[in-house]
Amino acid sequence: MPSASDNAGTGLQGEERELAKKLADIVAKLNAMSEFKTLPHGSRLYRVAKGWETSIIETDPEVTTATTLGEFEKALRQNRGQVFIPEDALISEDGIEQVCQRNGVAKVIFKEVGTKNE
Amino acid sequence: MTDKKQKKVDVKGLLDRKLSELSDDEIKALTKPIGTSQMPFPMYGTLTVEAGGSQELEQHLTAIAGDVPTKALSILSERDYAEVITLALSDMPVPSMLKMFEDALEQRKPDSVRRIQLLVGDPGAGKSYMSAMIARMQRDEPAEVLDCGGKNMRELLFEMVLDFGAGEQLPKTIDKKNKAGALDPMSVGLLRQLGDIEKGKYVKELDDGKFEIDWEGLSKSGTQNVENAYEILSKVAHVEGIDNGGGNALGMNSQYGPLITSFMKGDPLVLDEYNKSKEGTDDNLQTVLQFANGELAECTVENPLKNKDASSGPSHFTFRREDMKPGWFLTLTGNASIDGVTTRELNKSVYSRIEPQVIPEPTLMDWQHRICQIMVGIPVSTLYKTFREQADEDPKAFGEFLMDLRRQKAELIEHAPIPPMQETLLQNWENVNAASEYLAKCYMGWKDLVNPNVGPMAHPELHEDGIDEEYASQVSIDFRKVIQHIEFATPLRPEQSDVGVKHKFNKKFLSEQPEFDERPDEDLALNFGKRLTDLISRKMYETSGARGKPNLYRELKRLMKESGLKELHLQEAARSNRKSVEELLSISVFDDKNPSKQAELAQKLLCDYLRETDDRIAATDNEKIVTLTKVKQALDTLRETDTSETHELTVPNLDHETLSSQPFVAAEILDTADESRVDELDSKSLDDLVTHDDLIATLAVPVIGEKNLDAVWETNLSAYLKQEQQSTASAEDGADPANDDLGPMEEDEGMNIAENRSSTGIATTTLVVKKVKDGQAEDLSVHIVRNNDRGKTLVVSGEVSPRIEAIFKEAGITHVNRDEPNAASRVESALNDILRGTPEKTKERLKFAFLLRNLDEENEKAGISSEANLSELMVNKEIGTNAPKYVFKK
Repeated sequence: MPSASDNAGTGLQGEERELAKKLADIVAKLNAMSEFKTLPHGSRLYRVAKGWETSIIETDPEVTTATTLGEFEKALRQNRGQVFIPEDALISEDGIEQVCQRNGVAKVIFKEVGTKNE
Repeated sequence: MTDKKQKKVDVKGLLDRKLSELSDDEIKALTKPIGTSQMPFPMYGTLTVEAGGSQELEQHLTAIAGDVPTKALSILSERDYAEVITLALSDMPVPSMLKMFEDALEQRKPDSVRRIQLLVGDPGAGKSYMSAMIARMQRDEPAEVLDCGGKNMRELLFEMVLDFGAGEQLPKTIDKKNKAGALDPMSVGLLRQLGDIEKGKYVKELDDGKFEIDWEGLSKSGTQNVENAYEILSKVAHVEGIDNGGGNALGMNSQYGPLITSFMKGDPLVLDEYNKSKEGTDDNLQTVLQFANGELAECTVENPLKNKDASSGPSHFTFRREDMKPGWFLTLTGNASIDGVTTRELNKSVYSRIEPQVIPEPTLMDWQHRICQIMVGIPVSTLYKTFREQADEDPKAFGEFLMDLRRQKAELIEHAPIPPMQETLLQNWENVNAASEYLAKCYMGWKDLVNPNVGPMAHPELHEDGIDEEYASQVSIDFRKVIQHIEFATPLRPEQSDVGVKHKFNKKFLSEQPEFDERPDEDLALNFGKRLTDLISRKMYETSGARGKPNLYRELKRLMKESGLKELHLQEAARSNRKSVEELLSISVFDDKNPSKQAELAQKLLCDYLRETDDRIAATDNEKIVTLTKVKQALDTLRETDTSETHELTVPNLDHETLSSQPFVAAEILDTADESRVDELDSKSLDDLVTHDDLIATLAVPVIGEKNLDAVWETNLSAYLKQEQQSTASAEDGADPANDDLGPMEEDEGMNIAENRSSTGIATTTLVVKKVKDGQAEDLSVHIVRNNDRGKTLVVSGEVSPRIEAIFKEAGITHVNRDEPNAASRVESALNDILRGTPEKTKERLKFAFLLRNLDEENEKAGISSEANLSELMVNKEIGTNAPKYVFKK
């Protein structure tokens, strides 16, 4: 049985709500896939301005959040899903590149930034 | 009765077992074919071809399409076939490297004892990429890629590492305090000292005073670094009070290095930049290389670090053939250019044991292949060349094949959606293929021109520009530059206006913050071609003309033109109907040629328009307003109609009674330049005119917009003006709109433009419709300028809704509301864009053509001079209309 909070604010319940969340996940990612940097071995780093897109991406179960380089490397080595790096993570783009260089894998990485084109 | 059905073998974990322990069934289950007759795989190599009765050796791109295991490529993989073939086809190495790819797969076959490959090539050629990609074809895990630059190669066998204990509590605790900004100032100082190791490679102070720490890299950074780090971290642990044993233990340990651990785990290992490793440190690797090469069946290596600094660890390791696991493979990569400083010649014994495979200079095909991969994620050009016959015969089916491949890559490999721009570009795969060829020519030519050994040889005047090694090292062109350019050109960025566009200040906005337009952002693919080609041409200028190299800039400009970057030679464009890179890669949703998609878009636009303009239509479901079937039928009928003959326009049907059965109705043009129809005007009134919004809205609708634009030109004007001239022959000057400076040729060409007959593809005309404002109807001129060759249109008229304006942009139409403050500047900018690449005098001729319809005796009285700029004339609402062309409802 859905909890009271399930339809809070949305009026949606159960499957409908799940579907809406999945759709929001996809839209958020598609919106985020504009400004990017190609990393070694074909990974792509998308820079996403902090906003509703990053809030949704961060909570997507397919996405692993990394706040340190160690967590980032572990996330890269996981079989599935994308990686999200919040704005306050202790991870620089040089660090991301260095870790991607020694891990031959092609991943989609979203990095939250203060503003676009940063 | 025996069960002939083969038992399904679970392949997960099989690559962790020794080859010698795997059964035939297990090997069979692991084997994934690549290059079968059902799914051929591209291959480039030397073939014997018949040429004029004799046999010649030539290099060609064909395919491997074997029907039996020995004739096909294959790989042992724990991944599903779909994942393996998707990776192989989408991340395929460039054609010049395909033979190396084939060798790499052959050497990984179960019966192969040769398990090593040495790839030598320029930076960015894709050496480590190919090896890591093969590893990913085997398992959904990253391959270890070790940067050997400056490293002691002995540590590949046994290495001294920082030991943080099982729970890695020390790094975790430091990270936690670091994140919270709770580290003791003394620890901060010590971490800064750690940052001195290899210039901040492992520990870097960030802008906020916190530290980015690469624990994994630091713990395996080489004996000397590890010893230094141990000393510093011990102090940090003490200062932070985390040195009291338990899980926070910090130690140093000698352990198996990456080469031995990769062998034990059966993982591939890529030794990147091998010839940048510390000289003289790979002597004790020789026997291991002999083992990897198949010369030795067994070899033992000793641990020189054993008991050093009281560290524990293994004393030796023995590589044995029978212990080898299916996934183990060693790839050494090296840079081709030897600079003697960081890059050196390899030990001769390495060369004698492993014959290096030298990656050749990239060919045009290679450039095209990589450009496609960077733009859309798959090598469209190579796949097209491989399946050319089938693709040409059925481009739609080939497009679907490409899209399926890209979708599989997104779903099975990347686990993320396809980037929207890639999807749009891929839907127009022919454009991508053609543009990639032009771009490949451009980048390849650019690379040669700035190469001091090539450019000045072909163009001796480049010597004067100082094209030398130093300059070449600063501006050299390789695949990485292509990546950078595409990365930069993909997102929308602020644009600098064209020269000549006038800007006005408004002091009000010194204190008041301006509001942004609420118009939605344009689709990324809409002007991608423009952004990319603008960037390339800017980079060319900045690295040549702007740096005092005029001869080089001249050659680069020639190259840009020859490679069709922004414009084609006019003759070439006219002959072949080819488009420039800018046009090929600027794709709008309106370019979709699929009739069903066009009907969907037309239905949406029509319904949105009706909801916006008619309060009585409130249904949110488009099907309840007009069905898709009806819209599709209307478009299908229109497709068959040649509107340049009928001069009939199509506009939305506003009648509620008939809308659902007939979404669009016809409108007619009554041209007063056509003497035979002038009398019809008597029976018409202002009310009979089609409204401005109805006409404008249709210009953005697929099929209808195109057909309406085809309909608006006729050849009445030349006959009309001839008659006018005859009747005023005796008069002094008459109302001849011709500029005195224009000769007869310009006048003829002006008439061609006015009647859409110009070889430049430029045309202009003016229609008259009605605009209803505050219940009052008045007539309104709609000026249209079109570049037929480039599919660009400028419409200057009255105000339209922001939504229609956004749709116009998508459709490649620039609309300017003549009442907006900077209208003339916007028209000027749009005209410059439309006329780009046309002969110099086209603008003058266009103005002449415009005045043929828009010059009347009243203009001069109203103070409008034909000397004014075309853009100013077009936005002037006082300008009269000579021989108006009315658009009436039918």
